[in-house]
Amino acid sequence: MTMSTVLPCDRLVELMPDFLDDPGLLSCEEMEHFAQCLRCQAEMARFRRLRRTLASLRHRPVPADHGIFDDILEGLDSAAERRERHRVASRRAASIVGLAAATAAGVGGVLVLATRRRSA
Amino acid sequence: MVALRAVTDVARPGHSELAVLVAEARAGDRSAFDALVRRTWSGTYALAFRLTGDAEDARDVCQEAYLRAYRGLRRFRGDARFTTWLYRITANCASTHLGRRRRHRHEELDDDLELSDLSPSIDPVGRSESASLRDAVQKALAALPPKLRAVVVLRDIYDLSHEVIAAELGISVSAAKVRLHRARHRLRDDVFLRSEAEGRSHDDVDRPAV
Repeated sequence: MTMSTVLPCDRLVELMPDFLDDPGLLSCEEMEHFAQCLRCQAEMARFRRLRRTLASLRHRPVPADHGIFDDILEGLDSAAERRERHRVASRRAASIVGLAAATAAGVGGVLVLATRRRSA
Repeated sequence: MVALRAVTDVARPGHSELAVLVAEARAGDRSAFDALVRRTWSGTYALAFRLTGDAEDARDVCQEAYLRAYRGLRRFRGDARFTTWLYRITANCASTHLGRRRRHRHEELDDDLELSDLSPSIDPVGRSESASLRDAVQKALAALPPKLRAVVVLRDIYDLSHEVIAAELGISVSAAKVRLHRARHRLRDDVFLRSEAEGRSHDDVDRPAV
């Protein structure tokens, strides 16, 4: 009886996608089966070929409208403008709050002085 | 009619050159960031297109990715390549974009990818075989559900780790591995088994009746 009748090929084929990332995934028994079984080797070759082809796609051209570059820059410009407007608005609000606080403090001071003078 | 041109990251920008631009951009130099965009947009768009399978979606994802990169540039520590960092942002944007799209339209994105080959290899036999395999793989990729496509694109095309993929897609590492497992099986079935089955059925038709 050969190993390939003991270990079903289907089980190994099921493991093959993970085996690509982790060659230590198979047990010694499974490795032994793999070394003997042409069907499993052919399946593994398919997965490896698939992965090589996928890796080769990284540097393949993709059709694109060159206007995308301009759109990206426009988007960045708009974001920068929005940020600047927000910064100016925040600064203006802070100035108004500061002015209001100073006015309130001044009015408060005048009131205190007036009250003291009256009581004196 | 919009003029199309093939973009690729074949002409990859030098890492030291990018590092200088990143440093200048981090110091607040907007023109340096524009230069970074000029050098990297084609690769970013290619990834966005492969993740979404749709030119308009890829355009939106690409724009959003650069906006996020611009806002988050100070957080980029430089311990990874700038392009890898950008790919992570793009993957995250694509995941968000596709999720939003599905919620609004309840549709799967499985348009066929039409990719062109502008740099043929020297060996004509190997070229035709690898070109047909590439075509078959691209079609099978486009037919995958977006969730499966995302992990296989990020892992097998862009070589990102399971941990990074999981983080950017907002899933656990084990979920990322399960999706990758299923995606690779489906691609194998679509690319090899289906074409073999079709070949056999053609043979049956061609064989004369006895």
